[in-house]
Amino acid sequence: MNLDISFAFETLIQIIPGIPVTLGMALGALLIAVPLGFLLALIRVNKIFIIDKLAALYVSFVRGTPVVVQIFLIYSALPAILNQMIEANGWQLDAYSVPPVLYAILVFGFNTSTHLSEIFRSALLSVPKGQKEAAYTVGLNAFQAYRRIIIPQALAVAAPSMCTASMNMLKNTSLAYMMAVMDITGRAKALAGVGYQYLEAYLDIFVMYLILCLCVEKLFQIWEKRLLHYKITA
Amino acid sequence: MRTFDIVYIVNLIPKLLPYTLVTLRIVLISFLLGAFFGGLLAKAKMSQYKWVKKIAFGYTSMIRCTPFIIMLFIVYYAIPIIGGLFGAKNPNLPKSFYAVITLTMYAASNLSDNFRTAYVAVGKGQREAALCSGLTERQAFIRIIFPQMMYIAVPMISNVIISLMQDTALVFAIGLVDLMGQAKILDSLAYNVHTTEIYILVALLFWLLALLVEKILRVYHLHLGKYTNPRKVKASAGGNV
Repeated sequence: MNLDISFAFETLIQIIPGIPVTLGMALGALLIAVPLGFLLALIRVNKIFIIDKLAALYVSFVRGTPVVVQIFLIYSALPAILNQMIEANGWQLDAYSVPPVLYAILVFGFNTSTHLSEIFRSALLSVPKGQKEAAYTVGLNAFQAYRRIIIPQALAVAAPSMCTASMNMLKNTSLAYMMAVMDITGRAKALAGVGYQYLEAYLDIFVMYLILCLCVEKLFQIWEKRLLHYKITA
Repeated sequence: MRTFDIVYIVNLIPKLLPYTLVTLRIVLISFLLGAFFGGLLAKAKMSQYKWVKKIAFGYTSMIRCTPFIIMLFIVYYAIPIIGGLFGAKNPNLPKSFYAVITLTMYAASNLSDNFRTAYVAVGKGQREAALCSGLTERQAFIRIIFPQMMYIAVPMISNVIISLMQDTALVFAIGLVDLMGQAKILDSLAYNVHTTEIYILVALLFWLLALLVEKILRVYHLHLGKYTNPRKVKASAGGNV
């Protein structure tokens, strides 16, 4: 048994169409995770009665369980629940024809939201109380105070951890093949199965993720610099 | 429409509980190995030789960019080939061997960062003061620096162990029967009818393990902090899970 370099190259080119799927999944998950994570963080920072306990429980549960288990859970439970809803309401839909990418986005979105909520929470707490009070004193309302005063400062603190969380999520998307999503991993696995050339395929995926993650890291670094730049000039 | 079956979950507990030990054993072994290699890696990152530093940092950023499951498969398929190059014919290694190697790679990478930050946070003055008062380099590390380092590192280590445990949930992919592997077996034995119930139980068990690990390490953290300012201990003992 030896490494088949030409197969590895061919596969590398053939899995390129999987990149948009992987990135799309990651972006979709972020679109769920950022607002939800921020909401959870706000609930916990402002200690809203009972809801903050529920939020803490949710965060603890999701952070305490592996992503694979969440994948199997959502992928088995959600279609059934959806089907029940469709039957009850008489919608013209087929619950089992929903593309698996949507379930993947949901899983990764919920998962990342908990990590982000912890990051946002500590970032919000790191902004001194006086900033908010001062903002109210000069006549800003709560929304303006958050939008213009607190969030810019909190983001500068949160950015490095957000980078780590996003990269972890991007890495986790490689598990989407368990839901039959044809992303980078799914494509490579399908191609490898033909000639049982798994090592080459996995090395290809390895290279792909290395490139993707380094790009994401670079983007975050640029963003971070801009945030800090803003902070210094302000 | 099939309804959700709580009784099924309760009956499942004795079938799954023993396999948490398999998971815990793998986590423990890879954590200990990871701590050893992580210490070496942290030392390499603070080395005075530039290329040693570069390799150590490069390794960490490679691990940070690779999904665990991909690395697991690469290790699983590559080790027999590498062994073949050295003349080992068809090595019949247990699957837990590959799992432990991959987990150790990740644990070492993550722990090395924690160790390094903790070591830097302790401050040079402590080592210098210890050397001045006549301790040897080794004594200074064991008696002065290490206890302070651990106090800083333990909350981060708790996160590393928990993420290690979550990675362990993936080793079923190479056919190792741990908590997750057994869950999959039970799932197919039940003709995939009770998937939701089974994985809810698995999730609860993992959650329980995570909370347990966190609790134990928090107690250890407080124990380590008994010589420091008690108010400071209270402030920094917050966990994450």
